[in-house]
Amino acid sequence: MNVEVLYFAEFKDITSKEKEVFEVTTNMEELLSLLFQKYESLKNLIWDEKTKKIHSLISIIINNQAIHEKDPSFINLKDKDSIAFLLPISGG
Amino acid sequence: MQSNENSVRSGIYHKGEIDLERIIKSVKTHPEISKAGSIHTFTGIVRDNSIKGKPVISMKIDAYDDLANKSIARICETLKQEKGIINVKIIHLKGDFELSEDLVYVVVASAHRKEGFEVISKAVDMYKKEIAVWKREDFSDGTSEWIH
Repeated sequence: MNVEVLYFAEFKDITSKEKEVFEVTTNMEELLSLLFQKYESLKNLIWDEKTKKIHSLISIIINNQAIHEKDPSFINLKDKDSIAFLLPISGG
Repeated sequence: MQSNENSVRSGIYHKGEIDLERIIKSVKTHPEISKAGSIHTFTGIVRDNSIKGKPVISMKIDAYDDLANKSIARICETLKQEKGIINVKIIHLKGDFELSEDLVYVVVASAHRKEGFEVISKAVDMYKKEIAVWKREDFSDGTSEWIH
């Protein structure tokens, strides 16, 4: 299945893209593995080595809905999902 | 995002897409505008120094439009329920900005000035905490930082 990752702020600077499609077969764990292989510095922003989960500061958004689970192996994905990882906001 | 010349929807716009005068005109088209005794405006602009005191030369604003537009609409609807408030518009711009350029507009029409001033302040506090917008400050030493 194909899922789309949306990039904002630092993520856009690191990837030089607004969005990107990845082919995955299972869950968020697989997607993160692909993301971190392609963009090593994204791992520092998203991944918490202490908890082995997505960092608590990161908001995970799938199809414009917030996901509260931080363990990527428990976050299932489906075809055409639109996924974003958001750092804390800072309006003007 | 506008549906016609006089109608402006609150939300995220690209820099240059809209100005304060047009938002005020839109606020004045509200069917109950005759009940208003004042229109209040807030304009957020680019400051030449960061919160840590570092010299800033320019700024970038990025937004997750779908989420930010929903949050802005929710804030406006919430504040419109306050006593004496006729209309509330919040417009946040995105793109690349030079010093002193406009970043955000909040426009409030109210029956009396006191509640108008209060709701302007509440609107700013709310959008800063609730909308999916990020700013990157570009410093005079060539470095940049996304603010969180």
